[in-house]
Amino acid sequence: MLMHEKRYVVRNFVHGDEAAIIKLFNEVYEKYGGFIPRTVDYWRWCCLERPDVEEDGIFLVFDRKYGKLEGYAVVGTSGNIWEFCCRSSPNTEVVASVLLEKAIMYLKKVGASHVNINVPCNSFLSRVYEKLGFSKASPPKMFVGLLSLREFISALVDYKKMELTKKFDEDIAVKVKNAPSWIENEFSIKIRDEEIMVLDILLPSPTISAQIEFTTLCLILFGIMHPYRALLSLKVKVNPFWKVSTMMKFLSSIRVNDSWFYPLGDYG
Amino acid sequence: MEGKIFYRKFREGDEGAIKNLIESAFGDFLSGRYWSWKYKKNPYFDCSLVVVAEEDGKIVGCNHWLIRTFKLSGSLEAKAVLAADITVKPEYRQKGIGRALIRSLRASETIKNKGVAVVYMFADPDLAKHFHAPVAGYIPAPDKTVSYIKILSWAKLKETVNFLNEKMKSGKIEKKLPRISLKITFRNSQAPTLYLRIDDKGVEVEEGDVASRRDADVTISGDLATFESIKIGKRRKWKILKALLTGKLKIKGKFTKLFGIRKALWILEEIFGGKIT
Repeated sequence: MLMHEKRYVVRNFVHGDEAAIIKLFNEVYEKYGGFIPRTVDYWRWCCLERPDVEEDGIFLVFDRKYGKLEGYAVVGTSGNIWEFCCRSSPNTEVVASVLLEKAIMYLKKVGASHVNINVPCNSFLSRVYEKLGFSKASPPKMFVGLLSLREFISALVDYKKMELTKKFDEDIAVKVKNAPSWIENEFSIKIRDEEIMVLDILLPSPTISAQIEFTTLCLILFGIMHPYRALLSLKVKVNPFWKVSTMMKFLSSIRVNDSWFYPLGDYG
Repeated sequence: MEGKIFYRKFREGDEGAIKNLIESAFGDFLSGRYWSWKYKKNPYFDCSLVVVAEEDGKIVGCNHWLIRTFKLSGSLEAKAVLAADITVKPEYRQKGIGRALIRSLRASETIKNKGVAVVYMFADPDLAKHFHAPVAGYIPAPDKTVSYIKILSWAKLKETVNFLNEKMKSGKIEKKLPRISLKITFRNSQAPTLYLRIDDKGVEVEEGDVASRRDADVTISGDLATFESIKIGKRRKWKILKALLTGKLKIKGKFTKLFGIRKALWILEEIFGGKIT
């Protein structure tokens, strides 16, 4: 056991730490989209059983006074820091520095050629990485696609059901242009009296009819493109025209808002 | 004459052939033990989401999907699949086998029964644009992940140089080598200094303190992020010029040798163009 700061204690992983680790990971990263909630089984597989991870490559920082886990790093001999997590507190930078220094020392010892870590881009810890000699690199990009548009829309509207039923009282029929062969090219959403239904067909007399390009619809739903931008670029058409604002509000209400982050462990 | 290609689900006994196929495509990254860990030991592994393409009983292509619970926004979670490793033997490419492998997993009963709506994957943007987007309708995720790297040693780069020297010795590369020595220093990143001596015998590399003490004809200095952005940029010469004009990259040395660096550019591209870590 090593003492780095008067307040913190650093030690390697021991069996039984899993519960505290997954609790901290889920607390820190749950605000990001693309987040895969950790369970003990998943964490054991993802970190502990990973071929390049040894137990002496997993470092945990505890608050000496309260014995609380403040941060941890799972370091693979390949040079990748598969998971890196620090509790948000006024001393996060100290905890992060302690963990990274440990990781660097460990990787030098095992003869790795580099240290690689993924972090959310708005992380205030950027200056810690830069101080320790890290440079920004380009991670593999994440791409998303749909297997079922109806299932996806149903999940989004169910999640926002309360808000949508208060704001809207419409029958919306949507024609999807240039949809791939496996995607439904039309659907309808019926919002009536605290009920929302997503149907595979076009309603015969909707209050709003819309026509949207498939890629544009995906970009809107995943929060990459604002609905008004799509409207201005003529990729969304709404009929009757006085319902444009309602349709834009509806699309804005259901779209995904969080930015996404993936730790290296979820990549490979 | 080529036989007919059949597509079927993974079954016990396929493991060896799939491991060989994956290893030949992805190298060490997915060697045998990695494959077993990534799929067979994975708590989310479902063998019905691995398909193979087969010709005369031999596996010529495979595709793996993994189901995960995935947070979309707020507390909204969805079942999603990670489209993981897909590969086809080189001699069978450009025949629609990759498309068919994706199609057969998309139509799988498991996907329908479990109500999976989202598929995601990680890829090189160029490959995604030309293959994944048209075939599977992928769009870039609202991903805000940044990667940081710290170089501890240039061991991998030395391997690349040895490989380059061997290619030149065996006559696979017939370009004439300029006679020049280069010192590359990395600002901010604390990466070890590199010294490259190029002559008609090949390229020699030194790193760290030994390299720092060397006198070179030309010294190039910049931070690692600048080198990285030049490496991944499409218009490299323009990127180099831009980096020079903005001071992100500095080149100094003997006047007569400064022009010689142009002749050495292809060597730098060979060395730094691939994976340097």
